Amino acid sequence: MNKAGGVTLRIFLAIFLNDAIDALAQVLMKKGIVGEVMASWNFHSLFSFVMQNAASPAVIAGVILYALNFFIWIVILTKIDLSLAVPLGSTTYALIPFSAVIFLHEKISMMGITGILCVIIGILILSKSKPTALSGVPTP
Amino acid sequence: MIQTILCVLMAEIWNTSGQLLFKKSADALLFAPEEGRGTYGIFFKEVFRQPGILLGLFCHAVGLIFWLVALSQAALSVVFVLGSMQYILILIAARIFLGEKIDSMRFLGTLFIATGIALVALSGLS
Repeated sequence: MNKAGGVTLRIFLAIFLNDAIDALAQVLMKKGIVGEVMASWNFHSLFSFVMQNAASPAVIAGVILYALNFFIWIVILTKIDLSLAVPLGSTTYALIPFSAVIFLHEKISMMGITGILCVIIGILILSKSKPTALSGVPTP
Repeated sequence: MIQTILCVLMAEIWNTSGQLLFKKSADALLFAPEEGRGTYGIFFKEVFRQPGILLGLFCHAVGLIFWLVALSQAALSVVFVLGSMQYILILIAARIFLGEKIDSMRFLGTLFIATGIALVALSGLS
């Protein structure tokens, strides 16, 4: 049964928190990876690549944050359509740089401003989208 | 570069499959405290009983390996730009496999967010 509702402020904030944690986890993993490029494209070097990086504290911290995020994400999915949750869940990539510009006075290019405006307009448009559960279309 | 693109695409296909399985399982969960049904305690007990959750976690684990390999080969911003393919995949998959109604607002909003994130990543801010 699809119990999904529309975009509310509460759900948006939950998704925002979820994705802020995700962004942090990704930065940690990028910092934690050792060994630049995989030696060659086969299972053996894939395996040694994983083994080489599995013990890195930053990678482990990233994975733990991923686990925490998993539970938050499942709760979110009980309340909102997947095709609304996923695009909303990626807005941190624009909103965090936006806050860096406002609060940390980082320099920003015209392209960056356009991108941030696009994301904000996108969120406003998505909040007008009718949830599937209320639009009268039966879900399989 | 082609190897990076293929890695990101593989990561996204696995992640999208995982998301579909998560959503199917989330809809099957008895969890709606505000409606008087289910609690967080029941939620934690029930989550790992859903086969879709375990399969979805497996999909994400495979996707994560591809993602890490891609990150090791290219800058974070490049991988993020390539990552905007995910939105198109999710829209199509949610429509086909979950029967979600993709109205014009949802299509337009997703397009704006995907474009915006690609622009921010290219401008080197994130």
